Amino acid sequence: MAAVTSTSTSSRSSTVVRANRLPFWKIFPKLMVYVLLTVGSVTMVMPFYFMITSSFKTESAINAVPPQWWPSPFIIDNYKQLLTMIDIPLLFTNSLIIAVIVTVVTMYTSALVGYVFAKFSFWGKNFIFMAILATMMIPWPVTMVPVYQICLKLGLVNNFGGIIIPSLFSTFGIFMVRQFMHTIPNDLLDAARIDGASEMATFHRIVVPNSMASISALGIFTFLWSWDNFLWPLIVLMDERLFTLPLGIAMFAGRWWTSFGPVLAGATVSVVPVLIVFLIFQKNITEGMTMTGIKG
Amino acid sequence: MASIAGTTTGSLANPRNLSWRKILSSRNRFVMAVIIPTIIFYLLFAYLPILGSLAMSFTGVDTMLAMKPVWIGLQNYIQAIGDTLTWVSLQNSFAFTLVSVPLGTISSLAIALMLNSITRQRAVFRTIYFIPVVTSMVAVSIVWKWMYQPAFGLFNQMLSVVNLPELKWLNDPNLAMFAIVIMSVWKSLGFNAVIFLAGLGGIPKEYFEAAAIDGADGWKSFVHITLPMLQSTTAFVVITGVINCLQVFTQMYIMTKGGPFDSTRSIVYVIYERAFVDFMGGYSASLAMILFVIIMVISLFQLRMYRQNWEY
Repeated sequence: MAAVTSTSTSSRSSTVVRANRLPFWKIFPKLMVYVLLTVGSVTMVMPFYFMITSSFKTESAINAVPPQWWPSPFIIDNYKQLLTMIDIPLLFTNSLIIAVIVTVVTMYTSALVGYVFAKFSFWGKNFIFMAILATMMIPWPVTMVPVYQICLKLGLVNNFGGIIIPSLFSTFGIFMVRQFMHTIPNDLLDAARIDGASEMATFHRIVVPNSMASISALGIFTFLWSWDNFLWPLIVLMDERLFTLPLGIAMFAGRWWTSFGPVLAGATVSVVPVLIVFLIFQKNITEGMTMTGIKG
Repeated sequence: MASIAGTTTGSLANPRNLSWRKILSSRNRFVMAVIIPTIIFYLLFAYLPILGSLAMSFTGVDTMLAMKPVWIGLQNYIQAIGDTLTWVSLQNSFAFTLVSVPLGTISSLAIALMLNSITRQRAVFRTIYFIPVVTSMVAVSIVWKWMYQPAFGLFNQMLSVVNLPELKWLNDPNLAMFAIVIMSVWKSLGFNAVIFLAGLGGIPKEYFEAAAIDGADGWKSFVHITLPMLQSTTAFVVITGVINCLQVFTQMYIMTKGGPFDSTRSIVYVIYERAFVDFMGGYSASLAMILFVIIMVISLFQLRMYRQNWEY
């Protein structure tokens, strides 16, 4: 029996996905794999393709049988109509402001708290950590009404604060950053302390720069999550002028369902910015995901 | 001598350090400054609400309008258990979960295996599969609702091309839920595939080489090496999948509003409606508590099941 060295599956660097040639697939022609993957890719993209192209079609062209692959005529009236019915720039800005604030704050708090849990010991630390982690298991319908009432009492209803404050700390973020912080050598921190740096300075000057990989991955996740957040803004925001983009589009689609053109234009508007952010940062995202160390 | 940050010598974990000077040392002040607000936050936005929900589930008056809550004991629970909608919606959520999770897990594993076997263009494919994941569920629901249209929708057009009869999709009580399942699985395929991909990357090549030397063929090494080594990854995918599917809401809200005939009314949809549309806060809370218990039981059961399988 050949000696097999058991490799540790924990702590991986950012270049994770190795070229494991599974013998099973060697038998299967590689070509077949590419074909299947391509077919799959088409199904992934097809709905978006139709969404975007249809937003430039006339109403009759949208419902054409067989479907039009390219808009003819190519019109932008749907977008014009959309803009007259709902204030897209306003919704967009609302979503952007909320997403940016939530992202920045979450990155900062997750980094701080993750750092403390990773590098310090104190009374009750494990218990507190478990208690925080346990909150991930709470189904949000359980907390949504009381949290709404708390926000009511704190004056956070119907304004951005109601969305931002409950998102101040992210359990997922704390967990993810903590995992990563374990890789920062303690000697580095001690050296800084010996040199007279205060704890905050140590954090800002050493810890943060060294963990930017995980913090930025977290930032991107948070941004995308915040943008997509639907139910909570639905509950908390009542003034239409404060609505986030998904909320505004959903309301619009609900009311004007039969006019597909503007509705699909609305869907396009809420998807395209996110898509662009994703395509720019995709390497970061997938690395961040593999970094969460889903392992044995 | 290298000292480990936060060693017991200076930390609050060491009982010899309970002099005020040591407690208020710079390091300890830092820790407290970070941890105390964190604790307050989680108490305020997580644990207090759970207790609040529990308390509210025993009251009758609409607590949303801050009227004086009236204690009615278990009446909400009795009403909930007696209401057929409760059972129908639970059934819907369970059906959704029981179809989505196996379907999603197996397909994303298949995709991960395929991605793992190619080196070129892997990143490109990975990105493409991830696109539905990052797009807004609202937008996706809108597009799929349009595609599922009976008259001119894409799906029925595809069916007519191969001479199959048109389906009513979202308007068909027997089909609507399944239609939403397909969309939901489609949307999260890439996410789970990337997780499986990461898990596959952690399997040492040597295992496969050793098996090949011992004469194992492709299928055997898949079943006896790949699958066991993926257990914790699979556990993660399945458990989070179940927890998320049981709480499905947005798709139903946008695509079908719970219809037709309550066939897509999930339990969370009912909880939402009772609380924010019917203003029955206490009743909604009792439903939420029931859901909470169900999810807890299922999660613990799953965790125990997977823990047993982890010895290999």
